[in-house]
Amino acid sequence: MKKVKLSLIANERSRKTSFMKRKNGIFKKLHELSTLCGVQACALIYSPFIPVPESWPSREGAKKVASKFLEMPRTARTRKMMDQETHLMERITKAKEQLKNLAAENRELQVRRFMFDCVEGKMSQYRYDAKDLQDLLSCMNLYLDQLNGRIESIKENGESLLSSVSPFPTRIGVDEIGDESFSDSPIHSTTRVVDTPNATNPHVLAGDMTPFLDADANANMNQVQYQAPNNLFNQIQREFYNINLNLNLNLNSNQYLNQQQSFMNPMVEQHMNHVGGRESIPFVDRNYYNYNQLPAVDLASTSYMPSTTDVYDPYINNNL
Amino acid sequence: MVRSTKGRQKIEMKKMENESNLQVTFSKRRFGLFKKASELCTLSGAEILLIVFSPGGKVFSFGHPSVQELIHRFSNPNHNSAIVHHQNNNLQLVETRPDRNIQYLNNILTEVLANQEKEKQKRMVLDLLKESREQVGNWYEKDVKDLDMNETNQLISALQDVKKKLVREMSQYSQVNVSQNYFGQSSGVIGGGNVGIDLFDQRRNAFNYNPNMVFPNHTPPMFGYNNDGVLVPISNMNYMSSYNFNQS
Repeated sequence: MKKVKLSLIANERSRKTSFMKRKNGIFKKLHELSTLCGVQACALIYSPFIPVPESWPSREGAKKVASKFLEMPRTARTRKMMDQETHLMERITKAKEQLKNLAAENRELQVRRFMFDCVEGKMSQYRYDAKDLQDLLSCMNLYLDQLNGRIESIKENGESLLSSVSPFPTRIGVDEIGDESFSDSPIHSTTRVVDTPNATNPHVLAGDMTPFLDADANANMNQVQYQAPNNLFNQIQREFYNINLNLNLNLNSNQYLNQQQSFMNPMVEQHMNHVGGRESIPFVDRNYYNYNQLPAVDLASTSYMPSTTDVYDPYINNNL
Repeated sequence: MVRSTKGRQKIEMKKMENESNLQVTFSKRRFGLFKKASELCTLSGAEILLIVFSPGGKVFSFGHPSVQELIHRFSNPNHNSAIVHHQNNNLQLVETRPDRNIQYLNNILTEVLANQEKEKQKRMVLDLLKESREQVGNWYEKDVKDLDMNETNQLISALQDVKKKLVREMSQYSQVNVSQNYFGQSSGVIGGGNVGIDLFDQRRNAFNYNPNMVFPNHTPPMFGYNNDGVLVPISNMNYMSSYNFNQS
């Protein structure tokens, strides 16, 4: 569908053709409205192309409806009256409200994904700023409230079913171990990056990415900014590839867990605790000093949609 | 016609029986009709009057340039010379001086609709990613209602651990944020130095101003279309005030 620019059509012939088509469309819509809802209506159209104004349903019918309109009290008449300016303002208000809702939903999805990646120990793979951290904190608080509510619900219902595989207390630690070995792979190499105030600038961001990408990926990234629809999905495929690796990693992790289950002795548990405790130190260090590239899609989104910087109001309100 | 799903389908062209459906249909179609009329006025310079009585007896009307003017003209058809004269005058008006404020509003509307398209595309990408993660099937990403006691407790513990690290990180970032606000001030952003106001400015920027926006006939104000730089018709002053109230 071709988008029509909302301004006077310059070519007079095109203008007339468009007028004729759209005029008939309006009359058709008016006919449908009055038929479906059983209401009275009329239309009157003056144009430079036709000396006599066109009416719907007919000149007499329009005159009758207009007379009925004029017989109404002035307040009832003017309450729902609008001209093109007031109508456009109404449309702009509606469109802005919809845009705000869309942006808030998208923001929530991204922050939620960020939260679960942090639980998996992947915080260092993100490039974030203070607002992202604020939104993340609000999202976590909200989610913790839901989890606490879930506990209350379980207690009330006497629901005491346990999962078929009883997880170890260091389950998250196991994930961290796996992620650590996964992070050592070339795809997710970790390098120290000093954040700058211009980090949110798409161009500077793209520049910062250069040292961490090979030539092909760099070319793709450049293309993303100008041919977004195609390369956006190339980025998605890269993300799919990463998730597949993650899936393999989870399988390995499960095998390891199953193997551990066959040795339920205190020595193994102590070993697990020791490993977990040792791994937490590099994790903290990475949080403080290591910032890596954004996930591919977020980078693409940031590069291609720089204007989506809206604030998710409920979270901000929770944070205040 | 019989269809398995309730997607878009043709409806019988007769009065609707269900009362609430009728009301909703009237509201939606009335809005769509006025929208098409407004577009026709913009594209071809036509002057249109629409009058619609609602099922409840209220009257909705749309008129360009105004309902009063068109209905007055319609009620005096015998003044042929006046009509002819106005036709000529109308033609000149259309050719030489399109309404600047209406053109400006149309530009804003186009910009907001374009931003909506971008957000919708972004949503499609995010939904695809979410789908692929669900296939991985991590237990902690299940719906909260599906977690048992052990899972819930472990997830709470993990989230609280991440939260502690996050709070430390944020205290570090607050210093960086102050620095950013300083840069913001030097670049001329109003309200820098206060986090709350800065967020508000960001929000307004996102909605109202885009450096790439092109205005063929008008220089846009920095923020919003009710800036002092825009001439607001007196007849719409009340509505503008009401709109300002709604916006804030």
